[in-house]
Amino acid sequence: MDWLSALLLMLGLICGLMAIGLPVAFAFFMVNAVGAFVFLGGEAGLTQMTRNAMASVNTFALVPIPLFLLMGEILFHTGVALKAIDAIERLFTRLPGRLSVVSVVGGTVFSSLSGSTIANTAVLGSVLMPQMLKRGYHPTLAMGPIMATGSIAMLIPPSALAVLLGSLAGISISGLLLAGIIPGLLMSLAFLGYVGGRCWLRPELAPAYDVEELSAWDRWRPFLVYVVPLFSIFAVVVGSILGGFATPTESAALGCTASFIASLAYGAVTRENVVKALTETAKISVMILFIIAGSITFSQILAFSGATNGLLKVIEGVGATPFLVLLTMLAVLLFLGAFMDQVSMVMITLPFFIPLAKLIGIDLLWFGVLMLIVMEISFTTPPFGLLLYVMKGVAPPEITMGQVYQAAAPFIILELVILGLIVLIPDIATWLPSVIRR
Amino acid sequence: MAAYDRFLALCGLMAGLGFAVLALMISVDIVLRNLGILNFPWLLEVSEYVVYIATFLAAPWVLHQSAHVRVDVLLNLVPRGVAIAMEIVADLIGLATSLVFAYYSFRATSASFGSDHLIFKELVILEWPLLAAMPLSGLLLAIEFVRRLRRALHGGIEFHRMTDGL
Repeated sequence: MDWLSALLLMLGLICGLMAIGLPVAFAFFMVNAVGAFVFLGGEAGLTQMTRNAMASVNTFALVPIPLFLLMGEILFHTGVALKAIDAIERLFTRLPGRLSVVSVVGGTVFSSLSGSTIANTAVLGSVLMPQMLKRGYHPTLAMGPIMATGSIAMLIPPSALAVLLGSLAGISISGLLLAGIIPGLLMSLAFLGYVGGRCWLRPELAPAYDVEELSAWDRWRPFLVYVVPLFSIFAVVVGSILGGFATPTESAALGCTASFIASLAYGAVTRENVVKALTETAKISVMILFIIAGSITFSQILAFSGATNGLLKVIEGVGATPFLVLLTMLAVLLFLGAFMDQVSMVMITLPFFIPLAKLIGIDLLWFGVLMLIVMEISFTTPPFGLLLYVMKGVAPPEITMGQVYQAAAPFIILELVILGLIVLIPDIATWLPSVIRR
Repeated sequence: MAAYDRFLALCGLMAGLGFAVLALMISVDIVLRNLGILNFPWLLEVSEYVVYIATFLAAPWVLHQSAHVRVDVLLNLVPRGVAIAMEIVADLIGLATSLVFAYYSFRATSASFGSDHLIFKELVILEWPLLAAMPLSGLLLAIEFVRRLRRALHGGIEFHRMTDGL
């Protein structure tokens, strides 16, 4: 079979199986089974496929994924994260779009403690959304900042997706975790600027209301009690990587232990919430890792069938500039992101994109951050963006899906602007890891 | 069936517990190592095995929870009858995939058992008990797909149950 037929068979089959609603992990396994039988030697290939499944997940580099998720789930289910958001809310009194600002600041703080976008969005949605709608906030300013800031959790460490991408693409995981910090903070600033600007120009979008008068101590005390100590967890996780004391796995383990100790210290730990945190972590982690179990065979088949090399030669032959190739890769990811989950996007594109990036001399760390940003954007791009559905789920029934899409739109534009900025100025992403390497 | 469901739920809880114990052990290792008391050189390897076993043993529970991510854009666009037909086809393919996986991973396990294949790392262990997690997982997944198929044949289909925690 020539390489083009092999490529069309593999990609066509995976897209077809996904389209009929077969869970993604099983779509990959089925395609792998067909590919292994055709290209890897019949039954021997099928046996090798099962051994590859073990090898794909039996790797130390993936251990931070469940641990980063566990950190966030512990803080979420024990209610410590909710208290932290509540404490941040008290700090802001007379500010245009006060609750939207709180959702951006609170979401960014929780992003530094959680590797889960779902936990982040759920925390913000459950605490702030009812208040915002009660105060007459426009849906764009109520839901938009929550969805946008919710997805920042995958950019600012701890980030399970950065670990996944680094592990599968062979990019330094520590480097990728550190490289996400500045772009993540830039996005928060852009969201704050947008919220402030819109509320200043059109105050009726977020009507001002009287906030309970509190003494300075009453306003700051919850912040000192519930937020400042939590920063020590971020310091432990990021500091141990920055200082080179710990691998990402070790920093994730320290983060989990610190989160549990903090929850114990607040008297927030119960048998029920611990069981809930453990089962939610298992559910999300296993879902991700089971898709990854097909990764080695999938890229092996693409390589053995000549599909990877064939496609690379065609792109080389076209003579496109590296910049144009980069833009094309990002455009493909943006397109896929509108219909597909993030792990599938990585699985399908990495076997082509990483060899291609190496071929044309693109810095893999920079490319990794750009991929992470596109994946972040895809959380809110219609029609499939996961957080759109999460938001629809927590919003009152009268909010339509169209309103949810509209709420996400301005923030998607801001994220695209930041993406463009980092394409033009790679140092925004690569500066911090390069400073640490020195 | 209730006992079977409890068994699946226990697999899920054990996976979560496994991750939590890993976090604790790695933290203790870092502290003891930096204090120069002792370290656990086998922990790296054990972490890999825990992640692997948790993934395969809890995968059927995740399927039972309808929490394996799926692209349901088309399912939501087509008429209900077509969606149910698609669900039936998807479940049949899922069943076939699980059985193929169970059969060939059983063959790999049995070959490893027959040759007493050992894994030489920090720990020296037999390979087949590790490989055995895969045929067991494949079998449990096949059972779950049969249950989903039965539900679909009775007109049951779940929309908007995609899950993604990244």
